[in-house]
Amino acid sequence: MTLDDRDPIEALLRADAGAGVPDGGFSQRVMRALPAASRPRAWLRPALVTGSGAVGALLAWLLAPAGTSVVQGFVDLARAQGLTPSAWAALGLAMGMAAVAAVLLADEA
Amino acid sequence: MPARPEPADTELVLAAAAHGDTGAFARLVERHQSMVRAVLRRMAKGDHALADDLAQETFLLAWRNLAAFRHDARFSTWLYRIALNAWLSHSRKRRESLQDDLGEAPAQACPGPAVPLADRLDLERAIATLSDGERAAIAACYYADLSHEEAAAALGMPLGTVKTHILRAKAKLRARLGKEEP
Repeated sequence: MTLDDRDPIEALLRADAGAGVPDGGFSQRVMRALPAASRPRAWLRPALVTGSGAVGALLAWLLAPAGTSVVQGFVDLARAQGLTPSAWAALGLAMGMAAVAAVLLADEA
Repeated sequence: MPARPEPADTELVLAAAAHGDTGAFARLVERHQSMVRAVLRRMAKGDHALADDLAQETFLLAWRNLAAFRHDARFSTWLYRIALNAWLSHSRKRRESLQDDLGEAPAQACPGPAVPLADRLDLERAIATLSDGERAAIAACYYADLSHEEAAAALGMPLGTVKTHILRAKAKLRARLGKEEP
Protein backbone atom coordinates (compact mmCIF):
# COMPACT_ATOMS: atom_id res chain seq x y z
CA MET A 1 0.00 0.00 0.00
CA THR A 2 1.45 3.34 -1.00
CA LEU A 3 1.18 6.60 0.87
CA ASP A 4 -1.31 7.82 -1.75
CA ASP A 5 -3.58 4.83 -1.12
CA ARG A 6 -3.86 5.83 2.54
CA ASP A 7 -4.46 9.50 1.83
CA PRO A 8 -8.19 10.16 2.37
CA ILE A 9 -8.16 13.12 -0.05
CA GLU A 10 -6.55 10.99 -2.72
CA ALA A 11 -9.18 8.31 -2.14
CA LEU A 12 -12.00 10.86 -2.13
CA LEU A 13 -10.86 12.45 -5.39
CA ARG A 14 -10.49 9.06 -7.06
CA ALA A 15 -13.90 7.93 -5.81
CA ASP A 16 -15.55 11.16 -6.96
CA ALA A 17 -13.93 10.97 -10.39
CA GLY A 18 -14.85 7.29 -10.65
CA ALA A 19 -18.48 7.92 -9.75
CA GLY A 20 -18.95 9.89 -12.97
CA VAL A 21 -21.77 12.16 -14.05
CA PRO A 22 -25.08 10.52 -15.00
CA ASP A 23 -26.04 11.22 -18.61
CA GLY A 24 -29.54 12.50 -17.79
CA GLY A 25 -30.39 13.19 -21.43
CA PHE A 26 -27.21 15.17 -22.10
CA SER A 27 -26.10 12.95 -24.99
CA GLN A 28 -29.47 13.29 -26.71
CA ARG A 29 -29.29 17.05 -26.30
CA VAL A 30 -25.88 17.09 -27.97
CA MET A 31 -27.03 14.88 -30.82
CA ARG A 32 -30.07 17.08 -31.44
CA ALA A 33 -27.77 20.11 -31.64
CA LEU A 34 -25.40 18.61 -34.23
CA PRO A 35 -25.29 20.96 -37.22
CA ALA A 36 -26.62 18.99 -40.17
CA ALA A 37 -25.00 21.30 -42.70
CA SER A 38 -21.51 20.63 -41.42
CA ARG A 39 -21.70 16.86 -41.52
CA PRO A 40 -18.86 15.46 -43.58
CA ARG A 41 -19.78 14.99 -47.25
CA ALA A 42 -17.26 12.66 -48.79
CA TRP A 43 -18.53 13.30 -52.33
CA LEU A 44 -18.16 17.08 -52.21
CA ARG A 45 -14.40 17.46 -52.66
CA PRO A 46 -14.03 14.95 -55.53
CA ALA A 47 -17.02 16.56 -57.23
CA LEU A 48 -15.49 20.03 -56.91
CA VAL A 49 -12.10 18.91 -58.20
CA THR A 50 -13.54 16.92 -61.10
CA GLY A 51 -15.99 19.70 -61.94
CA SER A 52 -13.20 22.29 -61.97
CA GLY A 53 -11.14 20.04 -64.22
CA ALA A 54 -14.06 19.56 -66.61
CA VAL A 55 -14.74 23.31 -66.78
CA GLY A 56 -11.05 23.97 -67.41
CA ALA A 57 -10.95 21.40 -70.20
CA LEU A 58 -14.10 22.86 -71.78
CA LEU A 59 -12.65 26.38 -71.69
CA ALA A 60 -9.37 25.15 -73.17
CA TRP A 61 -11.30 23.45 -75.98
CA LEU A 62 -13.44 26.53 -76.65
CA LEU A 63 -10.47 28.93 -76.61
CA ALA A 64 -8.11 26.72 -78.62
CA PRO A 65 -7.07 28.10 -82.04
CA ALA A 66 -9.37 27.17 -84.91
CA GLY A 67 -8.54 23.91 -86.54
CA THR A 68 -7.02 22.25 -83.48
CA SER A 69 -8.33 18.91 -82.37
CA VAL A 70 -7.51 17.06 -79.16
CA VAL A 71 -7.90 13.73 -80.92
CA GLN A 72 -5.60 14.89 -83.71
CA GLY A 73 -3.22 16.13 -81.03
CA PHE A 74 -2.96 12.67 -79.48
CA VAL A 75 -2.40 11.25 -82.96
CA ASP A 76 0.34 13.84 -83.56
CA LEU A 77 1.98 13.00 -80.27
CA ALA A 78 1.76 9.28 -80.96
CA ARG A 79 3.39 9.75 -84.36
CA ALA A 80 6.01 12.05 -82.87
CA GLN A 81 5.16 14.78 -85.33
CA GLY A 82 6.37 17.53 -83.02
CA LEU A 83 4.41 19.99 -80.91
CA THR A 84 1.66 20.99 -83.29
CA PRO A 85 -1.16 23.24 -81.95
CA SER A 86 -3.35 20.14 -81.64
CA ALA A 87 -0.58 18.36 -79.74
CA TRP A 88 -0.41 21.28 -77.31
CA ALA A 89 -4.17 21.02 -76.78
CA ALA A 90 -3.85 17.27 -76.11
CA LEU A 91 -0.96 17.87 -73.70
CA GLY A 92 -3.00 20.52 -71.87
CA LEU A 93 -5.92 18.14 -71.46
CA ALA A 94 -3.62 15.35 -70.27
CA MET A 95 -1.94 17.62 -67.72
CA GLY A 96 -5.34 18.81 -66.46
CA MET A 97 -6.50 15.21 -65.98
CA ALA A 98 -3.22 14.36 -64.25
CA ALA A 99 -3.66 17.34 -61.89
CA VAL A 100 -7.20 16.21 -61.00
CA ALA A 101 -5.97 12.66 -60.39
CA ALA A 102 -3.10 13.91 -58.21
CA VAL A 103 -5.41 16.06 -56.08
CA LEU A 104 -7.86 13.19 -55.61
CA LEU A 105 -5.06 10.76 -54.75
CA ALA A 106 -3.58 13.19 -52.23
CA ASP A 107 -7.03 13.57 -50.69
CA GLU A 108 -7.34 9.80 -50.35
CA ALA A 109 -3.94 9.43 -48.65
CA MET B 1 -23.13 -16.59 -28.94
CA PRO B 2 -20.79 -14.10 -27.35
CA ALA B 3 -21.82 -10.45 -27.39
CA ARG B 4 -20.05 -8.28 -29.92
CA PRO B 5 -17.32 -6.30 -28.15
CA GLU B 6 -17.78 -2.58 -27.86
CA PRO B 7 -16.02 -0.79 -30.71
CA ALA B 8 -12.91 1.13 -29.72
CA ASP B 9 -12.90 4.93 -29.81
CA THR B 10 -10.67 4.82 -32.88
CA GLU B 11 -13.22 2.78 -34.86
CA LEU B 12 -16.05 5.09 -33.84
CA VAL B 13 -14.05 8.20 -34.72
CA LEU B 14 -13.19 6.78 -38.13
CA ALA B 15 -16.83 5.89 -38.81
CA ALA B 16 -18.04 9.31 -37.71
CA ALA B 17 -15.34 11.27 -39.54
CA ALA B 18 -15.31 9.34 -42.80
CA HIS B 19 -18.98 8.57 -43.22
CA GLY B 20 -20.72 11.14 -41.02
CA ASP B 21 -22.00 8.25 -38.89
CA THR B 22 -24.01 10.03 -36.21
CA GLY B 23 -24.68 6.74 -34.43
CA ALA B 24 -20.94 6.25 -33.92
CA PHE B 25 -20.58 9.81 -32.68
CA ALA B 26 -23.50 9.30 -30.30
CA ARG B 27 -21.61 6.35 -28.77
CA LEU B 28 -18.57 8.58 -28.30
CA VAL B 29 -20.69 11.26 -26.62
CA GLU B 30 -22.28 8.71 -24.29
CA ARG B 31 -18.88 7.23 -23.50
CA HIS B 32 -17.09 10.51 -22.73
CA GLN B 33 -19.79 12.88 -21.51
CA SER B 34 -19.10 12.03 -17.90
CA MET B 35 -15.41 12.94 -18.08
CA VAL B 36 -15.99 16.15 -20.04
CA ARG B 37 -18.80 17.35 -17.78
CA ALA B 38 -16.95 16.41 -14.59
CA VAL B 39 -13.87 18.34 -15.69
CA LEU B 40 -15.90 21.38 -16.68
CA ARG B 41 -17.94 21.27 -13.47
CA ARG B 42 -14.72 21.45 -11.48
CA MET B 43 -13.39 24.27 -13.67
CA ALA B 44 -16.71 26.15 -13.43
CA LYS B 45 -16.62 25.97 -9.63
CA GLY B 46 -19.70 23.77 -9.49
CA ASP B 47 -21.84 25.76 -11.94
CA HIS B 48 -23.46 22.73 -13.57
CA ALA B 49 -25.50 24.68 -16.13
CA LEU B 50 -22.46 26.55 -17.41
CA ALA B 51 -20.40 23.34 -17.40
CA ASP B 52 -23.04 21.50 -19.44
CA ASP B 53 -23.28 24.34 -21.96
CA LEU B 54 -19.51 24.25 -22.40
CA ALA B 55 -19.59 20.44 -22.59
CA GLN B 56 -22.15 20.64 -25.39
CA GLU B 57 -19.95 23.20 -27.16
CA THR B 58 -17.01 20.80 -26.70
CA PHE B 59 -18.80 17.94 -28.43
CA LEU B 60 -20.08 20.16 -31.24
CA LEU B 61 -16.51 21.38 -31.85
CA ALA B 62 -15.30 17.78 -31.75
CA TRP B 63 -17.90 16.79 -34.35
CA ARG B 64 -16.86 19.62 -36.66
CA ASN B 65 -13.17 18.79 -36.28
CA LEU B 66 -13.21 14.98 -36.16
CA ALA B 67 -11.21 14.82 -39.39
CA ALA B 68 -8.40 16.71 -37.62
CA PHE B 69 -8.05 14.01 -34.93
CA ARG B 70 -4.73 12.34 -35.72
CA HIS B 71 -4.99 9.28 -33.45
CA ASP B 72 -1.59 10.07 -31.91
CA ALA B 73 -3.24 10.61 -28.52
CA ARG B 74 -6.23 9.12 -26.75
CA PHE B 75 -9.56 10.47 -27.98
CA SER B 76 -10.40 11.39 -24.39
CA THR B 77 -7.23 13.51 -24.18
CA TRP B 78 -8.17 15.27 -27.42
CA LEU B 79 -11.66 15.92 -26.05
CA TYR B 80 -10.20 17.19 -22.79
CA ARG B 81 -8.11 19.72 -24.72
CA ILE B 82 -11.17 20.96 -26.59
CA ALA B 83 -13.06 21.25 -23.29
CA LEU B 84 -10.16 23.14 -21.73
CA ASN B 85 -10.05 25.53 -24.69
CA ALA B 86 -13.80 26.06 -24.43
CA TRP B 87 -13.36 26.88 -20.76
CA LEU B 88 -10.39 29.21 -21.42
CA SER B 89 -12.33 30.99 -24.15
CA HIS B 90 -15.24 31.44 -21.77
CA SER B 91 -12.87 32.66 -19.05
CA ARG B 92 -11.23 35.17 -21.35
CA LYS B 93 -14.64 36.62 -22.03
CA ARG B 94 -15.01 37.07 -18.29
CA ARG B 95 -11.45 38.44 -18.10
CA GLU B 96 -10.30 35.46 -16.10
CA SER B 97 -7.18 33.44 -16.68
CA LEU B 98 -5.31 30.49 -15.27
CA GLN B 99 -2.85 32.84 -13.57
CA ASP B 100 -2.64 31.82 -9.94
CA ASP B 101 -2.14 35.33 -8.68
CA LEU B 102 -5.37 36.48 -10.20
CA GLY B 103 -7.29 33.30 -9.48
CA GLU B 104 -6.24 32.71 -5.90
CA ALA B 105 -9.34 32.17 -3.82
CA PRO B 106 -9.98 34.66 -1.04
CA ALA B 107 -9.06 33.44 2.40
CA GLN B 108 -12.58 33.87 3.74
CA ALA B 109 -13.87 31.31 1.24
CA CYS B 110 -12.17 28.61 3.28
CA PRO B 111 -14.67 26.87 5.54
CA GLY B 112 -11.89 25.90 7.94
CA PRO B 113 -10.44 22.60 8.99
CA ALA B 114 -13.09 21.92 11.61
CA VAL B 115 -15.81 21.13 9.08
CA PRO B 116 -16.08 17.33 8.98
CA LEU B 117 -17.61 17.00 5.51
CA ALA B 118 -16.81 14.24 3.09
CA ASP B 119 -19.52 13.80 0.49
CA ARG B 120 -19.24 14.75 -3.15
CA LEU B 121 -21.03 18.05 -2.84
CA ASP B 122 -18.65 19.18 -0.16
CA LEU B 123 -15.71 18.09 -2.26
CA GLU B 124 -17.10 20.07 -5.20
CA ARG B 125 -17.46 23.14 -3.00
CA ALA B 126 -13.98 22.69 -1.61
CA ILE B 127 -12.51 22.35 -5.10
CA ALA B 128 -14.29 25.55 -6.08
CA THR B 129 -12.22 27.42 -3.49
CA LEU B 130 -8.92 26.38 -5.08
CA SER B 131 -7.00 28.69 -7.38
CA ASP B 132 -7.63 28.35 -11.11
CA GLY B 133 -4.30 26.61 -11.66
CA GLU B 134 -4.88 24.16 -8.83
CA ARG B 135 -8.41 23.43 -10.02
CA ALA B 136 -7.18 22.89 -13.56
CA ALA B 137 -4.48 20.48 -12.37
CA ILE B 138 -6.91 18.52 -10.19
CA ALA B 139 -9.48 18.35 -13.00
CA ALA B 140 -6.88 17.16 -15.48
CA CYS B 141 -5.19 14.55 -13.31
CA TYR B 142 -8.21 13.11 -11.52
CA TYR B 143 -11.32 13.84 -13.58
CA ALA B 144 -9.72 13.58 -17.06
CA ASP B 145 -7.39 10.82 -15.84
CA LEU B 146 -4.32 12.39 -17.44
CA SER B 147 -0.81 11.68 -16.25
CA HIS B 148 1.11 14.62 -14.79
CA GLU B 149 3.07 14.82 -18.05
CA GLU B 150 -0.09 14.84 -20.19
CA ALA B 151 -1.66 17.45 -17.93
CA ALA B 152 1.43 19.64 -18.17
CA ALA B 153 1.33 19.45 -21.96
CA ALA B 154 -2.40 20.13 -22.16
CA LEU B 155 -2.33 22.99 -19.67
CA GLY B 156 0.85 24.53 -21.06
CA MET B 157 2.50 24.41 -17.64
CA PRO B 158 5.88 23.01 -16.61
CA LEU B 159 5.64 19.53 -15.13
CA GLY B 160 6.92 20.80 -11.78
CA THR B 161 4.16 23.41 -11.65
CA VAL B 162 1.50 20.77 -12.20
CA LYS B 163 2.93 18.63 -9.40
CA THR B 164 3.10 21.65 -7.10
CA HIS B 165 -0.50 22.57 -7.92
CA ILE B 166 -1.63 19.03 -7.12
CA LEU B 167 0.24 18.95 -3.80
CA ARG B 168 -1.03 22.37 -2.75
CA ALA B 169 -4.57 21.58 -3.86
CA LYS B 170 -4.63 18.35 -1.88
CA ALA B 171 -3.25 20.10 1.18
CA LYS B 172 -5.97 22.75 0.93
CA LEU B 173 -8.69 20.15 0.39
CA ARG B 174 -7.37 18.16 3.33
CA ALA B 175 -7.59 21.22 5.52
CA ARG B 176 -10.97 22.33 4.27
CA LEU B 177 -12.58 18.92 4.50
CA GLY B 178 -10.96 18.11 7.81
CA LYS B 179 -9.20 15.05 6.47
CA GLU B 180 -5.75 14.54 7.86
CA GLU B 181 -3.23 12.15 6.40
CA PRO B 182 -2.72 9.01 8.50
